[in-house]
Amino acid sequence: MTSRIDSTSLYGTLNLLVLRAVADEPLHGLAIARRILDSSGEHLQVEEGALYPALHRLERDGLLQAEWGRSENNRRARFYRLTDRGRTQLEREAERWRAHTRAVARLLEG
Amino acid sequence: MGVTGDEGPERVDREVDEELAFHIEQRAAELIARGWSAEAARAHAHASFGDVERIRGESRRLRRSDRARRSRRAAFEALAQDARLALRSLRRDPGLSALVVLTLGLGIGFATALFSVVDSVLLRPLPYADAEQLVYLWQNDRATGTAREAMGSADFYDFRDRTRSFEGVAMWGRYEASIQRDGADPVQLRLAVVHHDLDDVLGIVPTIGRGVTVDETEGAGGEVIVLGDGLWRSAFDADPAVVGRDVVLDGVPTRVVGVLPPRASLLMGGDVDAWRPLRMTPAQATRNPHAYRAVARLAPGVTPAAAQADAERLATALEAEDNANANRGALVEPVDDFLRGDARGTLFALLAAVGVLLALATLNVTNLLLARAAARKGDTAVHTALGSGTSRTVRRHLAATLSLSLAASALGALLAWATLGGLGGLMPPALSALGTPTLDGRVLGFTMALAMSLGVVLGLGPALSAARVDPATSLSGAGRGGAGARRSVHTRKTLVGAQAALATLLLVGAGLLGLTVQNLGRVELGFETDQVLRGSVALPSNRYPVDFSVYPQLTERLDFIREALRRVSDLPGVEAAALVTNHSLDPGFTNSIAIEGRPPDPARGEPTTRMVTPGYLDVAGLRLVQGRWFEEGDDADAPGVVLLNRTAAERYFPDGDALGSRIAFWGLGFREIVGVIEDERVAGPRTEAPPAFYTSLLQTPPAGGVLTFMLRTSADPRAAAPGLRRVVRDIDPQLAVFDVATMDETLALAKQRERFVTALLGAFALMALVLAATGVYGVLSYSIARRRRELGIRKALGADRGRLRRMVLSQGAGLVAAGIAIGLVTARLGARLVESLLFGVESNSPLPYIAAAAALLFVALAASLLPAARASAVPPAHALRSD
Repeated sequence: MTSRIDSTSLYGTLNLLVLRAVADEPLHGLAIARRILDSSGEHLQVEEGALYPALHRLERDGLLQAEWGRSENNRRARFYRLTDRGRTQLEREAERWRAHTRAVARLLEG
Repeated sequence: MGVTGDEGPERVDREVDEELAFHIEQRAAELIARGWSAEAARAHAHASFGDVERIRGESRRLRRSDRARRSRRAAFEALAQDARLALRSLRRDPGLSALVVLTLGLGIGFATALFSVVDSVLLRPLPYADAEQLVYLWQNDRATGTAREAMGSADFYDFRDRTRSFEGVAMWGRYEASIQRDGADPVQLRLAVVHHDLDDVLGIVPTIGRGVTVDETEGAGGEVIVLGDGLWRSAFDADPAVVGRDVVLDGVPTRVVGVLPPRASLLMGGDVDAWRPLRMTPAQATRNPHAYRAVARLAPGVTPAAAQADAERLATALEAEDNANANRGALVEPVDDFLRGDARGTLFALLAAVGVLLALATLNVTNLLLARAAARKGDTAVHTALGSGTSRTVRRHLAATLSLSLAASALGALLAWATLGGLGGLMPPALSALGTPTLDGRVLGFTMALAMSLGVVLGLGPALSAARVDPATSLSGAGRGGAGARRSVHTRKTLVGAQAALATLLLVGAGLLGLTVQNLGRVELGFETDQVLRGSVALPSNRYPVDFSVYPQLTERLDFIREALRRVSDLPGVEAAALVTNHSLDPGFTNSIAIEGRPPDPARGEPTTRMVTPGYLDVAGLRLVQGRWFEEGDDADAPGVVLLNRTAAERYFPDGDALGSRIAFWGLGFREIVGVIEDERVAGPRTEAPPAFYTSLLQTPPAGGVLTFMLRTSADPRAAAPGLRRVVRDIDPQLAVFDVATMDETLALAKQRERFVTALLGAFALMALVLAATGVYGVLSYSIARRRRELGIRKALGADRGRLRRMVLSQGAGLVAAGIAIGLVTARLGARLVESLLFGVESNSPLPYIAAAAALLFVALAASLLPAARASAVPPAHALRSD
């Protein structure tokens, strides 16, 4: 079962996913979408259009840094990497997400 | 990824398109690899992407705003870095920076001081509502050729009631009175008696209380006075409750009814202390005396020219109606023109001069900066090689020069502030009556704007030259002898030539004015001014009555004159004493005369009237040409006698038979001309002596109020002032002695305008010489340093020191020669600007031009001495070593 993640999803979820996706290595937009799909066990499929405004917003806010590079088939592509601020933000968002899920889980336990 | 200035928003848009296209095409490629058709693959990829247009729009917006923010930040950082680098480079060269700041600071200081004068005199609005609508109404006298005269009271009413051009007309007259105070010296007041409409016509509102009303002028209103702002502050401590207080004016209690706004009496000449009502009804008005000045407000839509035609029409009608108005025309003159017209001419000429000085200073500083840029070609070359663009270099130079000019503006403002007091004192009375120069917001704004402009101009010059530096040639060390360096020297030489031209302008101007002042000092005035003190008293008509039925036996006045003269002559240090109605530099008023045995001749004109006591001959050092001077025996009981001055004698008696002839004036009987006296230039050194007749005060005591003592002293004339006051106080404690000054001071004031301009031009010219000298010195030194090798070779080949020295000196002269030539030609054209100020010298008199060229040449040679000495001292062996 896959849930569609788009810009109307839980606030910041897309940001969190994107930040995590590029935490290990710089990726271009398409690769980020693939990484999110793969790493989530094919649960989360990003609406591809929503990805780019999110990437550009993160870049504008200083959480990502972008550079033109060569894709795996040698075409010009824009690669995004995590900045130090982005890394800090990722940890914060991740922690907040975990706390949120723990709380929901506790609620569901009764 | 840095943001350089060449990335525009379009590029960002293209990047977004490229990025999105990459994504969609990759997706399509994957589908094609799985067997889809190209078309279907692309369509699917597009569809699963989402709303491409919306996404494209949003992404573009985000990236654009990101780009904008980055470029703003980069610009700001670049600016900060430029500023840091600028300050660092300035600190590295403290001597040069100091010199630049000093040079610019002096120029800015002069300009600021002059602008503050211009601001207070010309730019400040007149203190009247819609002042450009106010005009003076003058009469003029065709027979004597005077353009501006006061009018009679009847003329005023005619101008008010029988013209169509004016919204309102008012008149005023002048007189003197004194306020008596208990236990203190009386205070002398200069008063204006005003028509009740005056404040309305002028559009002024008293700050406290009210003005003069029709009750007080035409009705039965009491004695009132409206204080001027200055008097209110000085004599009444700016007391807000002053209205209703009584002051004793010439023994008469007078009620204060109001206080005028500041500068309200500007159009009367500025030295009026208070207003009083002019008691007159239209029925009482007369054609004579011509004692009243008039001002009018133009009706809406009426031009001064139209009003002039209207006034002339009336004057012609009056001439036909009344013999007393024979030869009397009218002049309508905007108040602003009269008050400030002359000042405009003078100040514009001075502004032009300071502009020349600023240009000079800018050229000088440009040379200094070019010198530094040439010395630092290495640095610039490195920067350029490392990728600094032209605009970057320009910005950095601009930052440096703007910092320098900012510092200079502070120095300049300080200098201006320090000299403002002295400048105010040097200003001629016509200018200082209009305002006192101060360093207010507007003036400081001018200073800042000037400094900024200079900084920009200075920044662009060397910056553009530095930006043209080719890194390869400079870094390889060939710069020292290369084409770039030669071009730099050539530029600097041209700049020095331009400086010489500008300096010549100022020098010629200063020379012309200097000659003028000298000529004014050499004028044969006809009287002596050294060691003469003057001081005036006003005899009020209540205690010194004037009864024309017993004229000239005005006992109180005659007694005062005799007693005061006797006592004053006994004062220690007083060699001679006299009482006069107008001192030697006071032109006084004119009267018409009738010559016995001749028909009346309106073309004769009216001579100036001089009423004196016999001591005046010795006090003023007059020279008798014919006949005799007044004696003690020429008193009210003796037959009337009169003297003419030379001009009057020649004009009225061209056959030389003045002595013994008889003339009549003032409705008195004919009196005999017993002597001819040498002319006195009573209208000032510039003006030829008018025809004049002299009467003895003892025979014709004045009906008007003011008498002036003139004392010739053996020592400092000022020392006699306390004695004079004491004498007057002993005779009549209610009389104040006012307007006390030496005749030398009075003469200086008469020449003040010329002295003011000369002082300023002289200061400018001096600075110009200094700048030209440093310019020549700088370029020559640099040139010598560059040509060490060549000079050494010359030395080695046998040129002696003298020859090298002469070579350098002639180079120094050559630098300025062309500039001087151009400057002389320009000065010849520009001298027209100051023509109206000149006296005794034509604008093309050769002397100032020759002197200017000689001075500049001399200074250039003097500045070349040191470089010449250095050049001649280059040892031949040193030069052959390669460098």
